[in-house]
Amino acid sequence: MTVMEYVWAGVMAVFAGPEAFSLFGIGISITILMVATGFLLGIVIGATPGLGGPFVMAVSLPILISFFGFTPDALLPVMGFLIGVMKGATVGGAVPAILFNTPGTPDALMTTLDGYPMTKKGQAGKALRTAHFASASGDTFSDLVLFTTAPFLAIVVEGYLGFAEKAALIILSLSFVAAVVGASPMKGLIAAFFGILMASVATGEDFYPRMSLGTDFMANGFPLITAVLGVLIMGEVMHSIEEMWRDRRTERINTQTPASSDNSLTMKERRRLMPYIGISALVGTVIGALPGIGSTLAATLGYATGQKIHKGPVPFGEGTPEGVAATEAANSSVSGANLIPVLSLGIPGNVGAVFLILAAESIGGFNPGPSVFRFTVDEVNPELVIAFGLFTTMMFANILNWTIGGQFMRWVGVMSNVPKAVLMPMVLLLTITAVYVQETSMLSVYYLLAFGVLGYLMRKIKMPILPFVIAFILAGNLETAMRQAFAVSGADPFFLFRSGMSVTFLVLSVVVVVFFTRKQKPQTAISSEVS
Amino acid sequence: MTPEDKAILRARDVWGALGLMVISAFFLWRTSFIPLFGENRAGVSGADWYNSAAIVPLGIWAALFVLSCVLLIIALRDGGGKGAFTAVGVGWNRAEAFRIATIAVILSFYIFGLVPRVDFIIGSGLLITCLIFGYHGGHPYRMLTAAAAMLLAGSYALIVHFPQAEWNTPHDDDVVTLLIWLGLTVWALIRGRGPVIRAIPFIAALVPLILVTAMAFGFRQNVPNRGGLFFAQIEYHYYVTLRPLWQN
Repeated sequence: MTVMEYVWAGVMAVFAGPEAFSLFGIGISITILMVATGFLLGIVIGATPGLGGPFVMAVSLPILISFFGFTPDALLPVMGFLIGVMKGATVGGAVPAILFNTPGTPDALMTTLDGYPMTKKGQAGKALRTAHFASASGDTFSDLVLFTTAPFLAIVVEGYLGFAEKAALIILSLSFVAAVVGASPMKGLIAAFFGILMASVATGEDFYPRMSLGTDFMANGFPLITAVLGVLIMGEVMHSIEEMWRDRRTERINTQTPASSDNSLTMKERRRLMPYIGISALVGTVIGALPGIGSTLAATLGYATGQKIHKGPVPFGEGTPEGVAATEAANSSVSGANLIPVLSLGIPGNVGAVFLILAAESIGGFNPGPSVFRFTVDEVNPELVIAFGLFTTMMFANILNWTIGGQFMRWVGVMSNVPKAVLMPMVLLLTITAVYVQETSMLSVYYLLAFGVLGYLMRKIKMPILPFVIAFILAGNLETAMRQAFAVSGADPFFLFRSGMSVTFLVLSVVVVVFFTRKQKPQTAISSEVS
Repeated sequence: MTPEDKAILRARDVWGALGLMVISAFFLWRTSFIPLFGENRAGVSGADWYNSAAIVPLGIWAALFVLSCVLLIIALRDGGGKGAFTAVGVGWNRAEAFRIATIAVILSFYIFGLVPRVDFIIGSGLLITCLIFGYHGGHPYRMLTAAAAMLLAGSYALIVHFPQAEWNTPHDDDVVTLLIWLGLTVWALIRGRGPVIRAIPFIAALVPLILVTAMAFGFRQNVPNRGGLFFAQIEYHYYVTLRPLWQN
C-alpha cells in the first residue's frame, strides 16, 4: 500500500465503519457518533468547575471497553470518544473562567485574568467567541503538527534506536515527567518508582513469584485500569470531599453575571488576534510535545508572551480579547502535541494521553509507539490504518469545534452552577460502577479503594500522581526493553553504557533531575492533575 | 502555598521520608530471601544473577531507600526538623483527622459492607446522601451523623450476612439500609437549608437508579448485587412486563 492508500483507509475506517444509524439516507458510523458525543460531553464537563476531561475519560473507558468488546473494531469508537472528550473539555474550560471568574480546568486559570473583566464590561459574548476562535485555531494547528511530526519521529526512532537506547529513552522520559510535574523532583522520582513497584507485582519473566508477599489476592498483580482510576480519580474525589469545607466557590458563582451587550467578533478583530494566536499556538505545541509539562504552563507562557508584544489600548489583565486569545490558543494547542510522544514513542505525557494508551492496551491490536508507522507495501499494517483513523477523528472533532463548538459552549454556562458537593459523590459512584462493570469482581473494587487511599495520601504530602501513573504504564515496556538489550549484549552488565545515544539519554536524565531540583518552581506547577 | 503550609509540608516530609526508609529497608531485607547469585534456596534455583526474581525488587527498593534519604536531607535543610515533633507536623490536626476518619468510615463500610450485600440503588442512595449532607458546608456534626448512618447500615450488613453465600438474600439488610437512608434524608431536610440540601433526595434516588438500569439494560453489563431488593424487581418487570410490550 502507498502512503495515500493508508491515509484513505484510515479515513474510510472512520466514516464507513459499522453504522450507528442513517440520517437522510446517509449512514452515520459508530465512530463518528462517538467522537461527536465525546466532544459535546467534553464541553459540558469542561464547563463544570471541579471536573475535567480526565474524569469522563476515566469513568467511561471501562464501560466503553466492556460495551464494545476486546476486538480491534472497538479501537476507533473508544479512542474517538476519548479524543472528543479531550478536545471538548479544553474548549469548555474557558466558559466558567469568563462568565464566573472560576476556571473550569486548571489551564483556564489565566483566561480569568482578561475573560472575567470583559464580562464585567458587558463583553461576555465577545470573550466567549474570542476564546472559542483562539482555542479552535490552536487545537487545529497542533493537530497538523502532530500529523506531520509523529510519523517522521517514529521512523527515526525505529530506524536508529536499539533496545538499549529505547530503554534509556524511557528512563529519560520518566525522569523528565518526575522532575517537571509537581513541586519536588525527589517526590516525583519516588512516585515514579512507586509506579514501577506496583506494576512489577506478579509480573515479569521469573519463575519465583515476584513481590506478591505470598498472598493469593496479589498473585495476578494489580489491574491496570483499576490502579489508574484509583490513584487518579478515587484519590481526587476523596481529597475533594475532605477539602470541601473550605470551598467557597458556590457563593462566588451565585453572584450575578452582567448582561452582555457586545457579542460580536468581526473579521477585522479576528485578524488582529492572529499574531497572538500564532505565537501562543507555537508555544503550546512545543510544550505539549514534551512529556509531563502540561497545558497550565503553556497557558502561562502564552499569556506572558502575548503581554510582551501587546500594544493595544486596553492592557493585559484589564479585559482585552488579546489576553483571552493568547491563553486559550496556548492551552488548546497542547492537546494535539501531547500525542506526539504517545504515537511516535509510546510514552504518555499527560493524563489524557494516559487514557488513550490504556484504551489501546486494554482492547489490543494497537500498540502506540514507533512500530505503528511501518509503511509496509506488500501487506497491510492494520496499526497504521488505525493511526490514520485516529488522525481523522481528531480532524472531525476539529470540524465540530469550528462549526457547533462555539454555539454549544455558550449554552453550557449553566453547568458552572453545579456545586462540587453534588458532583463528587456522583463521580465516586460512577468510578466504582465502571470498575465493577469491567472486572466483574469485588476484589477490583477493593483495589480501587486501596489505590484511592494511596492517591489521597500522595496528594496530602504533595507527591505528584502523573509520574506514578506513567511509570505504572511504562514499567512493563522498560523491563522488556532492558531484558532484550541485556540479552542482545551477551549479558554485559554495562549494556546501557555501550552506545553514545544511550549514554546521552542517561546523562540527560540526571541533568534534568538536578536542574529542576535546584530551580524554584512556580505555584502553578502544584495543581490538580485531573480536574 | 503559605509559609505555614510549607513548614507543615516539610515537617511531614521528614516523617514521610523516615517511614519510606523503614519500609524500603524492611523489603530489602525480605528481598534478600530470594536467591540472587545462583543459590538454591527453598527448592528454587536461581541460575544467573540477572535472571533472578530478586533483581527488580532489589533495584526498586534500593532506589526508594536512596531517594527517601535525599528527601529527608532536603526536608531537614528546609527546616522540617523544627516542626516535625509538633502535633501538625506529626500529622495530627484534630479537624483534619476528624474529616478523614468520617470519610474513611463512610467509604469503607459502603465498599466492604453495602456494595456486595445490599441492593446497589439503596446502598448508593445512602452513600450519596451521606456525602452531600455530611460535607457540603463542612459542618462537623453533619459529618458525624452521616458517618454514623453509614456505620450502622454497613456494620449490620457486614456482621449479619458476612458469608458470601448470604450476599444476595435475604433482604433484611436491604430494608435496614433503606430505613436508615430515609431517616437520614428526613433529618437532612429538617436540619439543612438551601437548594443543595433540597436536591439530595432526588439526586440520591435518581443517580443510582439511572446508572444501574443503564448499565444492566442499556449497556447489558453486570452490576453489583443483582438480587437486591429493588433491582430484582426492576429486572423482573423489565423482562416480564416491559420487554414484551415492544417485542410484540
